[in-house]
Amino acid sequence: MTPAPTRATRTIAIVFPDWHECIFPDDPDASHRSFEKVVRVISRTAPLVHVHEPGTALLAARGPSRYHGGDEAVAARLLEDCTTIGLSLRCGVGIADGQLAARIAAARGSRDGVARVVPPGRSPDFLSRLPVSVLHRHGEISHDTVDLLQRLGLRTLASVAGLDERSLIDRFGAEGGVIHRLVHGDDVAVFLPDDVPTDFSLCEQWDTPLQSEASVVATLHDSCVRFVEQISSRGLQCIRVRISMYSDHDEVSDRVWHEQCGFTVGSLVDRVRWQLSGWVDSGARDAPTAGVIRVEMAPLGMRQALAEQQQLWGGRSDHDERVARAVTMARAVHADVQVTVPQWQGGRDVLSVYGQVDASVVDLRDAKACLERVSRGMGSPQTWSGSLIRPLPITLHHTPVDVELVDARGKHVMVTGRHELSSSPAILKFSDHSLRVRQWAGPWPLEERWWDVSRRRRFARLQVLVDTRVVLLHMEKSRWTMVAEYD
Amino acid sequence: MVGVDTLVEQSSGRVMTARELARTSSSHSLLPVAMSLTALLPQGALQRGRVYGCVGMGATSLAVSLAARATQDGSWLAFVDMPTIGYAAVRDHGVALQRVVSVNTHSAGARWTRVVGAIIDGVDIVIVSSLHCSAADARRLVSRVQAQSAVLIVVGVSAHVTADVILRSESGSWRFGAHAHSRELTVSCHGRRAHLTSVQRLILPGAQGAVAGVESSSPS
Repeated sequence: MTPAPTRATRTIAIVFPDWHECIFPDDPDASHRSFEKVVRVISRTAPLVHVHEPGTALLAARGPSRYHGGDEAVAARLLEDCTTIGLSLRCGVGIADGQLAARIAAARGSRDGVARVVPPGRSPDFLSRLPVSVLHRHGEISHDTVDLLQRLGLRTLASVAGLDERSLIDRFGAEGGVIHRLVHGDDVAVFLPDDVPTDFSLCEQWDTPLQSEASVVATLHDSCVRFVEQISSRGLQCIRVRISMYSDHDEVSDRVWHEQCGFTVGSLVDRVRWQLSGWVDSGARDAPTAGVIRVEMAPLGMRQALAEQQQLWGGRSDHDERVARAVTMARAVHADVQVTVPQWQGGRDVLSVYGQVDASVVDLRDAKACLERVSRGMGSPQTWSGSLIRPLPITLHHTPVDVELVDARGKHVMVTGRHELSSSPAILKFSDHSLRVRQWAGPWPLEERWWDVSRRRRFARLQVLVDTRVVLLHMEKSRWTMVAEYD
Repeated sequence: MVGVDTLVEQSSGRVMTARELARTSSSHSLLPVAMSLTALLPQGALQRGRVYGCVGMGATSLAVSLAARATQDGSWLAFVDMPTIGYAAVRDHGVALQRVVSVNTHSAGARWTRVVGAIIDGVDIVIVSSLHCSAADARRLVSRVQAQSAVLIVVGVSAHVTADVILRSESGSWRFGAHAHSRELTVSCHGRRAHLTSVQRLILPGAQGAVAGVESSSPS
């Protein structure tokens, strides 16, 4: 475990308060990638930006402040950088002791577009009168916990700061510890670069530079698996990782990534990909001029893997998360791309037993909900009298194909009122070709929703063996259509 | 880890690339299939990183039955540009529908490749009806399948891609009584990754909708 610094770290926060509402609100992946552009601009002034979430970046203030000549100077410089990006979003820069104070100062500053600097040592005063709700808005503490604090009568940060760490942890678990560190400013969120623990860090080096993004990501995949497994085998989780990439010409891309829920293989690989594509796309000035020769990953923040073994309880698995990401990426390619998942609807008509819902409105990572979606109300649908007998057709024509069914003398075959065929079918005619009917089964009548005048349907189904294929025909309103095929 | 000697042996004296090494050392390179299909496939399972082709009568059913068993074990299955797929039949084949997505790209060419590439990144088994892209894009896609250790199943004939393993149903006939009861197919398996051509008779679909071996086709 990394030791927590005893003193508040002087922290710079750059905050876009409206980022979540304005930039790809439904697409975290695209949001992250857009924020990469902002981070790139910031890192020209101060390297080693910590990306917390899209819209919030943190930096250790010590180095940049010394280099640019003081907190005020570096804050003004960063604010100028962010406004030159040309986003029509409010942006604030704040410098204070500890990340909470810095983030609040930045959010305050964003209202009137100025940089706010809380002088060293004054952060406790700055925080003390603020309501506890800022812990939720700026400190990633859950809404429920904040609500509970308020109901316990702790309305200001000063009153929370009065509690000792032990009682907070007793009452709120690990989150209590985080609250204590936040209000006292001794959060471990921002590390000085020389604090990197080497224990789990990993370095991959190649003799020939890797030229494409895909090859780097593919080659690093197993390293990421090792990285995550090594950490989780000790019962830990990495919540902050520094990824450094070196090109053959010694150019560097350096970034610190945060993942509140702990990095999984999938989310770590995503960070590699985002960082790499951001670096490659960054234009002539920063883009690498040669292939990637070395990648280093160093975990900066760890925590006990607390109650995250959700998979045992049918919760999220790394697998499901990868799929959710892949679907998001596929949908991001173009607006026309449709991703759907099946949903059980029931009924006797084979065409409508399963419907489709758009994947963006369901959480693919929620295994329980996914299972419910496809099996809701499904006792054993084959026992519904009147449904089609198995095996069921695997190809469904949701837009039925018009066909004609005639007997040996060329007369149209109809279904009588007593649910019998008027004559034996011999030829199935499509618009451009005809097939000889070798065998048939049915007709099976079906009346749906007879109680509902506007939606009721009456039709008959007929299975026909033509050539070597079996097709399913519907006869509705004296018209034959082909609705399904048994491929 | 695999010893150096075995590696050299496996790669017939050639030095392995990092990707090949990763693939060899990966212990999860096989995805299980239904019992009746094990005799048909090389290694008796689906191999990650491979492209499978299903052609001839019953190609769709064959593709779905290949994927069914793996979805029960937690793998995801994606249908690309197959809007006509009948989920009820897919379920009867044994596919866990809760791990199925269906992707409609409405496009061809480079964009199609990007969409399918993204899906391959996250989904274990991808079934496509045909490849709507150039030969070069198809090659890129195949290498992505290898890099991501996914399985790509192509239904029908595609000019641009040579499947590693091709399953072809040579002949088939329906048992048709009071209704279409079941179908017997003769399926051959060949291709550059299948050293010997194997031929099997399968009941596909069987009376309950899933695949079965001919011997076990006792009346239910």
